[in-house]
Amino acid sequence: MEKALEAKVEPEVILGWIEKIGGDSSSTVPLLQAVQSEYGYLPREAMDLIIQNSDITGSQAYGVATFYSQFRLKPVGRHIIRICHGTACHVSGADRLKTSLRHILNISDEEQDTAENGSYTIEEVACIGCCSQAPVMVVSEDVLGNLSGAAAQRALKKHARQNDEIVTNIL
Amino acid sequence: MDADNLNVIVGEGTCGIAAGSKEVIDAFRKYDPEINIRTVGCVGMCHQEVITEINDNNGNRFLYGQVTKQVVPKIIRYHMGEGNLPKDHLIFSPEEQSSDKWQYLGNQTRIALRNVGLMDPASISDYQQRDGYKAIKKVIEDMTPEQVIGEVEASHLRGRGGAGFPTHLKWNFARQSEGDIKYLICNGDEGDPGAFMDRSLLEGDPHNIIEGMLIAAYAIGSSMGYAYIRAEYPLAVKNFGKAIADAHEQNILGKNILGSDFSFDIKIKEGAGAFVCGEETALIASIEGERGMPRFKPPFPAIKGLFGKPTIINNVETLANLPWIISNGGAAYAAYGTEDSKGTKVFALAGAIKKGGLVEVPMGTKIRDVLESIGGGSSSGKPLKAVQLGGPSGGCIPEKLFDTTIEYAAINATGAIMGSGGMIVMDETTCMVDLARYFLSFTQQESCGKCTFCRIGTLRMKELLTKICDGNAVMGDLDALDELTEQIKKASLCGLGQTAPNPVATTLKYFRNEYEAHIKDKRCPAAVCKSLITHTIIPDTCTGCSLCDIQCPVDAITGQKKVKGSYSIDQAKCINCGMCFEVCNSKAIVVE
Amino acid sequence: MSEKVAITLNGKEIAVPSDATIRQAAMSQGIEIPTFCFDDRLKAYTSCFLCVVEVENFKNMIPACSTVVRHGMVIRTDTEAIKTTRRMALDLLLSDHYGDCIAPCEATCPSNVDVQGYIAHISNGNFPAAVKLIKETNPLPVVCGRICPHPCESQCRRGLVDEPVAINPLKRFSAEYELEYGPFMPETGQDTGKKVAIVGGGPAGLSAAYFLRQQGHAVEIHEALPELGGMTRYGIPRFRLPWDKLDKEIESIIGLGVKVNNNQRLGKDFTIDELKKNGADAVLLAIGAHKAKKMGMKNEDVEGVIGGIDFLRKVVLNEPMEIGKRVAVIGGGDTAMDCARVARRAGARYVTLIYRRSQEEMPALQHEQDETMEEGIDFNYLTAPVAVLEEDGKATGLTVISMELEDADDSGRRRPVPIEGSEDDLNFDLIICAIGQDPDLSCVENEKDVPECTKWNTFTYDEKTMVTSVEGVFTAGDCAFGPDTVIRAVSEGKQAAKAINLYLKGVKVEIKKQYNISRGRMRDLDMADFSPRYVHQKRAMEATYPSKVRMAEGGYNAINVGLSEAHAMAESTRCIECGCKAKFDCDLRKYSTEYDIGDIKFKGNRRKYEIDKRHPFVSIEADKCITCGSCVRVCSEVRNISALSFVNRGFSTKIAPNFEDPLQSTDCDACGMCIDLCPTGAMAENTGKEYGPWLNDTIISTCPSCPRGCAINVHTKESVITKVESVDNDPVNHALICKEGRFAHHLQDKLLEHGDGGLKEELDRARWLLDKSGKLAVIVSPRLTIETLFTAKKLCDEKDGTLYYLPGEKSEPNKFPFAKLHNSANAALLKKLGAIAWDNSEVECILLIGAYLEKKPLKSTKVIMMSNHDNGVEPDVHLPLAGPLRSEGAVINDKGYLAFLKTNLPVSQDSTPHAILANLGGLKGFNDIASIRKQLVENVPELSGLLSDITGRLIKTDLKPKMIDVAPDCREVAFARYCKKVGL
Repeated sequence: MEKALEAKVEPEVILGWIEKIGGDSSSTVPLLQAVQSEYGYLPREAMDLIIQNSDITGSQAYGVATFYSQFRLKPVGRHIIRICHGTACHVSGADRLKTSLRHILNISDEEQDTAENGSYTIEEVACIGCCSQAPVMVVSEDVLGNLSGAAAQRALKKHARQNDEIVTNIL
Repeated sequence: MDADNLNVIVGEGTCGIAAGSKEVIDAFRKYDPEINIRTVGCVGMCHQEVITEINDNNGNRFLYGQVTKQVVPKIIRYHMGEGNLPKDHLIFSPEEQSSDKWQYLGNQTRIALRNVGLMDPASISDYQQRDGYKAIKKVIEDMTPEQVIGEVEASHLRGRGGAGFPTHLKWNFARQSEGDIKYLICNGDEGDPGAFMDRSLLEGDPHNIIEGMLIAAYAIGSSMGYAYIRAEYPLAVKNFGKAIADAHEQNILGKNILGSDFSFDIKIKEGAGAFVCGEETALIASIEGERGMPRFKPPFPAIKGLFGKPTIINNVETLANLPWIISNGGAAYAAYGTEDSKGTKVFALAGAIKKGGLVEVPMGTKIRDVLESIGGGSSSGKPLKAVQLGGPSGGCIPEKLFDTTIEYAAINATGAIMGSGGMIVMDETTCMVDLARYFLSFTQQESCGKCTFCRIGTLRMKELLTKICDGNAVMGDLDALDELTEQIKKASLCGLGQTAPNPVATTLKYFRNEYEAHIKDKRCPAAVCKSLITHTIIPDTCTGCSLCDIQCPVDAITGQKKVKGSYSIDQAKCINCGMCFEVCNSKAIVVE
Repeated sequence: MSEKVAITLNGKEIAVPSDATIRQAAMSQGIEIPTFCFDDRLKAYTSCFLCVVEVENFKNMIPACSTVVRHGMVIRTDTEAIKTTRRMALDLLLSDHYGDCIAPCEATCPSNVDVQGYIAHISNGNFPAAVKLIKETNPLPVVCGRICPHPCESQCRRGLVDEPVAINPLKRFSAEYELEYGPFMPETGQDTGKKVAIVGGGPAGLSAAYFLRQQGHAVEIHEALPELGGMTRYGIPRFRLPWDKLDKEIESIIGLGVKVNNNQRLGKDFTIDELKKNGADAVLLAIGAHKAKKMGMKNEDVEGVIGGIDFLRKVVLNEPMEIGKRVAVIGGGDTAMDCARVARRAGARYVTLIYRRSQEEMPALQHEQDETMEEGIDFNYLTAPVAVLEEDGKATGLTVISMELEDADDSGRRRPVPIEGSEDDLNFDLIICAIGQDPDLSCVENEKDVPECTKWNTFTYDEKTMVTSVEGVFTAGDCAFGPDTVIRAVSEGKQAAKAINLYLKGVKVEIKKQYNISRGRMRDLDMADFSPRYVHQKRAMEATYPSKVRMAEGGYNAINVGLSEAHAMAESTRCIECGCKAKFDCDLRKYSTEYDIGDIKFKGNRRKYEIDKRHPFVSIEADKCITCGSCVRVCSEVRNISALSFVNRGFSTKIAPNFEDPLQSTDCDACGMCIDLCPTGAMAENTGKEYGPWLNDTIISTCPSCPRGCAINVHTKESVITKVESVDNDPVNHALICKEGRFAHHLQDKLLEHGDGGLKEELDRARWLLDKSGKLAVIVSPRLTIETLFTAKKLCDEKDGTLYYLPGEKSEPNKFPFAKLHNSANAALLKKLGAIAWDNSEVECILLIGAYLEKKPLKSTKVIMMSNHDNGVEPDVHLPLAGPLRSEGAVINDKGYLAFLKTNLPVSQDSTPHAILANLGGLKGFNDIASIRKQLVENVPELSGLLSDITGRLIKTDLKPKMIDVAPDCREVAFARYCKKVGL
């Protein structure tokens, strides 16, 4: 993965959030959510700043960050694709969306979920509640339903064109 | 006639968006940038998305379904008197109110969903025009907390989150327990994969939930509420947040509500992705900033909950019923339903069904009626084989039991549970073993990892199911599954673990033949399990279009472009992902 | 007193406090409820579900650790359903528990010798301890060290790194070293009045005798041959196992008081019945397998054909035999090799080995084959004898046929089949058939009760209880199991001794096996998981003499030479210590044994992690973790420290230091309570072979690190302190101890090792300095016991010196608030004794006792130092203090309480601090603590009556401590430096 994806953390930003959201132990989740919404993941530096400047302990921060599926400890691509793996999506072929998107993003290493060029990260998420449009995926903010593998590829390519990203050129 | 005179209303719930509502709106704007467009929540006719309503200047309402950007010009032209009524898309018009499309809603009884899709969720005045916030006014002005609880008792409302615990009993515990502060939590952590009632309610009628919370808070004496909403529902968070702010502005939330002594405020807590947080104690841990790990009960949250204080946790749908119950009386609510279960229940109907979406029916309705008269039967034309109720905690009810009535006791008797209302319909293309594995894999990932049986037991079950799906199992593995099922149910701390084996138990009970086919014949009757199927190309049918070759992620397909019948699949490389089958336009690929 | 409620527990109605949990209620009735995740120091967590019980009207199992009783509750703790659930819990936990309870060498050894344990002793240079440990399971280490085929090495995990550890050479080295300087002989038990007759003085019989004598039973061995040793003497040539060594080792067993009757053959000279009549309460048949197997070929019985084992025995007994020029040996095992080599030494010119399979299948150890070949023996593979050629009733040769191997069958073996028409006749003078041996059971044919026999010519017996079909008659060794290794016979002898002991006690003969989990067989393991983690190093080799040397002087000198001491020490470091450190105190192993858990029931994915040894004191093996969370909880909940986290969820939940950083870069203060609370070996002391996985002696003592006086559980092995633990239910500290108490024993300073009377020189010199010098300053640490302080004061008076303590502006604030008390210990007494703060006065001589000088004295000042550690000054004389955990006496803490440091570890009376000071000062009546206290009370009336009452750990005194800031003493400084050195 490209080094450029590592976020540069500004201490003032983090301290600002602690000020705004609170520094008590119940602010753990919202604070981490704020960090992730800013950087796309939880940079270690940001976590350390939270621990040093609030009541949240290292054990709590790390425990919570690894517990909830929303949080990521590694940098992500510039855009995130969330593939819904709800029951309806599962029975109508969510797996195929994954296969087809990984294919055009050229992600073959099982351990990886981000394209080599740092463009997209594929996440599997629990149900996003659009079961009657299954299978569904969310590219950045756009919810797309009733997809086939090929339709998902088309949608991704469209998104890529609009955002100056490169995906493998097929179809 | 000018398009400016038309009022266009587009359904923009998450499912509307998924179906392309943004494109539809863009198409209207493209036609006339000045056109008057409003958006509403999801009416629950998900199969008809994108749904668009046109109010013409004569005050006539027209409802169109499955609108795409191509359909938009046809609709506009008709209303400008230029073309024919696009009948294929019409759901409702002044002339035609009984189309079979309209039947979908017509056959429902909507209490919790009464406003959803019919108003702009972002507008508090829309809600108020539909009698919103009258119930809380009545409560504050005319009723004591005991009377409120009494009314709820009369309604026989039971928690709609799944377990079905009588709401008034829970409230009484909290009302009676000592505490300088009591908390009310709205549980919007709708984690069942396959359920979306709570999302639709939070997105489409947030004020109704706020009013429900106000009523509950008044009854138990709470001054602080939390709405715990899944982070996967950004639109719900957004709409609910706006509703809180608007309610504040009108002094419906905050200090001395409507000039009374009653004060109540609501904070939104966004979940961070953990199914187990639907469990009360895990949800509390999560709000407290901890890992969402359930703890042992007692003490129950009603006695010692959030931050050690008495806490009531009510599900979204439960809360959604409250304003109606107060306005219409508990008895009116209890008039619906059966002896065992009163009122209505919302289901999220999805899967192999013609008309999927939100369905609210009186308790006591037969499953078959929901599937047929509302859902319109199988979408594929292939016979239906089962419905899955209750998600990962629930079970599969086979076709032969479709006459089961929807009420707690009757559903439990089948081995499934009412659950929060996910209803996934399956035809013969669903492999029940694969489905059981899917659920076990889900609970395994979602297990908080605390208890032995849930943490390791569910994985061992999943591994056994994988073995079966891969055709490597022996009959003895079914005994091991039985044994694990029994023990995991008996020795887990929270509901997640106790119910985790249910999907296996019910499929084993009703679809044992499918398990045996995998084990004995090494065959997947639904042609789903990848290790037991093969994809092959019929040369006579193949047109040589090369689509399959392009799509194959593992380069297993070779052939000569434009040469008919030249393509073939290298079985050694094929991973049976099904991409080729999906793209083949000439049906030249068979799966066996 | 809380209210009581009535409940029914296992059918019995009882009253228990209304706030009691079911577990507490059960324990009040003496019913033990197993648990992993519950500990009195923690809040109930309810995760392991081992503690489940059944409560009437509940369909689910109820966790007893967290369910509070209710009036009228009907509880059962002992149903089959409960056991089923508990077993399932154990099965599930074990299915994700990745480790080796005992190292595979120990597990593979037929006698389960604690290889890892003795290698640890060897690596510490403690060879006698190594042999003592070996002899707990194998009384014949010298024999085995020479000739054991060492299956242990085949499973040695070091083989996944480079080559297996040279286990057998290590055993040989230590055993022979010890034989020379020892030998170790265990204590025999008190005479029980019971008598055991052992028939057969081979390895099995000797082993049984060794263990039976330790139980105090009288033992009499009846041996058919002229000397003891059985197959080790009569079946193994002495160039492989020298008789002097064998004799000495046998003597160490017989020396335990075993009566021996040689030349007494069962069935000929006596019967079992007679043994019983003559007072034997039990009889052990260990007659071995001394009858050569027959080939089943034509003319096999003619003169000139002999069984392998018969041949070897005849040679040993020096019986006349015609060897001739040409000898054939048939067979491919070790006996065949021995026969061939002995035949060579007996003068045969040409010796030919005939084996029907190929070299690949040959069962003899590779080095035996090589040596045999080097000694000029001709190997004929794929050749089978068909008939003996005979002339005048005398063998003249063999007809042989060539063989070929079929393809492997289902069992993986390739069967040899003759090639038709390939017969050939070979000339031989002597034909030795060494294809195996059987027990000769004809000796029991005429018994009154004939023990039942199997079709393999062995006694029918129960492998667990070693009993034969005849009451009171047991069996062991080759005649029971069939011909096998010496170590197998030793193991059976040991097992038989256990069984006989139980039988003689009149209790049910039942021997339960400990549960052991294994990472797997070698072939199932991945080298990549092991190899990169270690520095590769060649295995040490025993040196075998060239064949010329071996054959010289008749060929009966030892053929090889074992490892040297240096080689052995170096080789022992190659052991990678796979056996679990917690093997003796693992709850998972304990309950798995108790609930009869078998093989891994659920095979599936297991979590595998690297061992985290980055912290100098604590190691984390997350793949042994059962996720009870006790470590995380004791750290956050009790210690209020953020060091350990739960990580991930679902199956991949694990525990790790926060952010998986090294533990020392978290807030961890190394109290090590995580180790105490861990029910498995997931959290353990990060030690290497200095403390092997030994079964230690434990002593409850008092922690001397501060006046709080926490109880500590001190483990020792061979009088070395190996581990310190907290003590359950200690009210002083709620069973929590700190880094200093737990890890201070790591400060073993070589300086302390004085031999017998080794202090004399130093003491003389110190006395001389004290007498010669003028102005004397005695500087004490206020951490010393009041007895030592008082003695120092007396010495000071005697020598006209001034008593000082060290003021400590620079003393660090207390880092261990939960355990360690304030620094002003004994301040009240020091004031009382008139001590003043050290002011760097110019003196001629300083006597520095347990104190750390910040500012160096003038060069001309003579310094006598009493401390265990480097103290910042260069002393003229260095005397020791008592070891960190071997202090005794009393201290006054900062609350004015008298606290007694009551070590229960052995203290050498001459080297206690007060004894040394009394010696230096020539003080009378200061040699024992009682007399010092007597005088102390006369001088300090406030202590009157208190010092005699040492039953309580804390006693309020009238001595009001005045807070004086004092510098850390040398022990604290040394520990701080040590921690720094190891990276804390």
